[in-house]
Amino acid sequence: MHEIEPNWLTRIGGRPDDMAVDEKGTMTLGRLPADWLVQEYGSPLYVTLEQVIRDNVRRLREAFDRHWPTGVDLFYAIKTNNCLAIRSVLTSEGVGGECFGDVEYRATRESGVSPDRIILNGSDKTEHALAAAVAGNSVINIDSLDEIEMLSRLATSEKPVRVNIRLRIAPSGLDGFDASFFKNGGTASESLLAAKWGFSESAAAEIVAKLLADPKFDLLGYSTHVGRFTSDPAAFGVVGRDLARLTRALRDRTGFWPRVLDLGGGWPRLREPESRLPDASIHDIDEHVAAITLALHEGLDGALPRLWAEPGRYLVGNAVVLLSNVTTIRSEPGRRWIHVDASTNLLMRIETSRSWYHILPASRMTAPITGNATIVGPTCIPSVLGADRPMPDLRRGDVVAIPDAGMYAEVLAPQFNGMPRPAGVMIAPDGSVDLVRRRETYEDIYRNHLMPSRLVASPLPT
Amino acid sequence: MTDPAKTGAETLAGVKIFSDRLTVDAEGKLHIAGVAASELLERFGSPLVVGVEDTLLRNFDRIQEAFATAWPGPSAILYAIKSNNTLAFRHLLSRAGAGGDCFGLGELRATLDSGADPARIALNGSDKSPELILIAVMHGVTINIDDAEEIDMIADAAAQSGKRARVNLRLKILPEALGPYMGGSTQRHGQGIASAKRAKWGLSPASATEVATRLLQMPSIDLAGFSVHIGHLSNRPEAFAAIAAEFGAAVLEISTALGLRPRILDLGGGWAREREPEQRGAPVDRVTIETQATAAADALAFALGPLADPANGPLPELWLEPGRYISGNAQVLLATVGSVKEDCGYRWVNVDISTNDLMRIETGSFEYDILPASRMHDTPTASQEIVGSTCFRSVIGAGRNLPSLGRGDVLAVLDAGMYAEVFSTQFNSVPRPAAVLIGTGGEVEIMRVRETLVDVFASHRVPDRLRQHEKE
Repeated sequence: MHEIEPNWLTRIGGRPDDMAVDEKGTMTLGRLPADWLVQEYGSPLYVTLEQVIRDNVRRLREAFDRHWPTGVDLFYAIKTNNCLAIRSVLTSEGVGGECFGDVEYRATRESGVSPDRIILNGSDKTEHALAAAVAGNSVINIDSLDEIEMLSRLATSEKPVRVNIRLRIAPSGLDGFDASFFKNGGTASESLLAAKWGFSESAAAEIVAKLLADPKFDLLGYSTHVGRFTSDPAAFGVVGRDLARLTRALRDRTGFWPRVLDLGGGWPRLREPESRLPDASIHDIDEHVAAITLALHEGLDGALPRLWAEPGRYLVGNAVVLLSNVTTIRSEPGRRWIHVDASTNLLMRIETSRSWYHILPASRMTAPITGNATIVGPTCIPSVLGADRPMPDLRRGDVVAIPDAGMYAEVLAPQFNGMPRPAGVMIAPDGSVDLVRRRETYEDIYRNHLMPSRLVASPLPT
Repeated sequence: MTDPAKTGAETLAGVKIFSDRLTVDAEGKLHIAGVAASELLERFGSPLVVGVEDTLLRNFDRIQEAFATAWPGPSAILYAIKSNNTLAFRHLLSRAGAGGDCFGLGELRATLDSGADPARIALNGSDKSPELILIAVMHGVTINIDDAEEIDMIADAAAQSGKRARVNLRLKILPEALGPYMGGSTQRHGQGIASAKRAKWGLSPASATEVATRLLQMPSIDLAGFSVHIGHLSNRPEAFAAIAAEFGAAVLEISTALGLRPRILDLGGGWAREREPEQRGAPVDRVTIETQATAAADALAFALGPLADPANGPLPELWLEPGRYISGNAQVLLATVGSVKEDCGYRWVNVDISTNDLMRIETGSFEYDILPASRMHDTPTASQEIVGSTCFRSVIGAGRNLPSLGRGDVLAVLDAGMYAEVFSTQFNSVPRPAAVLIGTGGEVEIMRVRETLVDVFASHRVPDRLRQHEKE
């Protein structure tokens, strides 16, 4: 357990992601010391590393370039992290947008994405969102019969609306993979069958026929999205085979051959909090892309369609590090609690999905480990960020760093216990720092509360 | 959870508790405190959180009365604002005489601003900052000390403010008798007593004795008593009795050793409701608050022995910190049905709320009662998956037997008053809903404004250098 100068960055696995340790033993992010960032911008602090995002885009594109003749068109899933500055970085990389609902659609557009490079998803799209998408010549991944009816009202034969049909991929071939991440128990295929998204083969066949007969629709192809539940590339092969099988079966029933296959998101990362494991995956993105494209090459017997992907976590998961000050430290025989000023409010996937995050002693990266400690947030729930973690001696004012806070963290943050949400900064490749999210105040917590006048005017008990 | 043969009205009759103000009219429309759910949505939009003043105050009265009766000394109810921080609720409770249990500056300020009596406000938390402690001391708020490190901060605050600080010591109480009751809400943190040992809160009786010894020598600090809070784990009176007995025994031991006589004993919160989404679908088990209060008060008095004997002086004031009991059913969440899809043997009913609004489904597997508010007399015809539209599965209710629902139908989710709005997120950039308050005279007023896109992105900033490409 005891070791001299633990090499934290090697231990956590994955790529360096612009994290390093300086000669003082302090963790640096984009070459800036973590403790300096906290002194300058306050704690807790979400720190975004712009270069990491750009590298992720390039790596994902290169993987598809190697394995598919037309490469891939990327559409960023803004649900993962809706930081507008991050969206703007992705826009400058030429990444389109994957959106749910009016607000994500508007945010994506306002970041400069051309509306014809936006996909609208959702199991229950509002007429308002559909109208905006039709007006912008965006692509709609159809997931209900209602939307066909609404789109038929909104579109015209002169300017047909571009659509994909969302297919339900639930092959029993997935049942060999651990599906414990899916919450409803049972096997992967049972879980995917019970989920609200997508059309079965027979339902899709009817819709294909209907849309082909309606000049107001330009049916591009199919979309699917299984979502991340395993990092095993073989599972991506299973999905690819099932998508190819459905594509052929629907061609046999309707004569339609897709120009586009939208493979959705859930592209696995090396360090993955949702794996609930400290060890990084041994499978890099090239293997996942190779597995699914090989299955498509083998299974498709018509002209190869263009491939689309809707990555979220892959592009931003490792691009944000959460920094937090150490506050109270308490020891009992056999136990040590290290309080930090970040709570599970800021990493809600710990509460919802038992996500497992690395916690690094950013201000003492070379100090010897002296025993286990439980890292806790201050809130009135247990707020355990990490249980029984080997840690050096830390004291009030030290800084801890939690990597991989770029996905499903800020977007899921509640203000439980009246806690304002933290600030965010972005470090540019040249080392300059910009505030990209201002720290909330107590006024922000209550800004939408109103007091009926009769309550304000009433005398208080004495 | 929903009996296949029951209409919404019959389901409601089976699960209704004393303070619900829910009725059904001849046409099968659900009314909340006399106002039709559909009318509320027409006036204020959907989805909508509907608060009921009468329910809130009736819950407060009942728990206050239960402990006033069960405990032979004085008692006080300190509302745990963490369960629901709606300011209008907090003001109503302050007017009714409720004190407050607070964590952090946001909760403390809201409680003080609402006019609650500072002498009946407790500041809790395992990691209090010096700034927070100073504000508490300045206002005469009682600090439930959770760690020895707080002592110096409190002494500094007392010196700075010129006020004597009143404190309780929070004890870590781990009765083995609790074991059988700890399988529920705490199971994610380990079974039984191991879970309470691992939790960050409280001082062991030995540590508390050391801390108390120091405090008794500090004239600027008034050690008033002790506190304990295990949180909701069961509705069984035996569980509350076990905590109170172990707490009382520890208080007696420390007090005897140091020759002190506590004036405040704070038993914390977690008092069980009769209908509880955290039961996760178990049948309604009507253990009344009176039963819980009597079990706890009797066990405490017995364990305290001489400290609870009026012959030796006045009894300590008993403090309680209920949250869910007061706020749980004081809000109903109304939603409107959108797209309905049938495929693969399932029927998915999309609604305009999501688990964003009921995050305890995601974090604690809560199961909520869902009523077909627009068809309360219709016979259930289908098992339906009630789902929110977000990019999570967002299952509000799985396999619910309800009348066949279509676009525009209204659903009512009960017990949305506890740990719902305070945990709500804006995932998928979805603005959070509005909330209204129905007063005792039937008047309806907005108590929380519906969020907009502006609220979702209010804190975001895009650096100029990243905006450049937009102009190109």
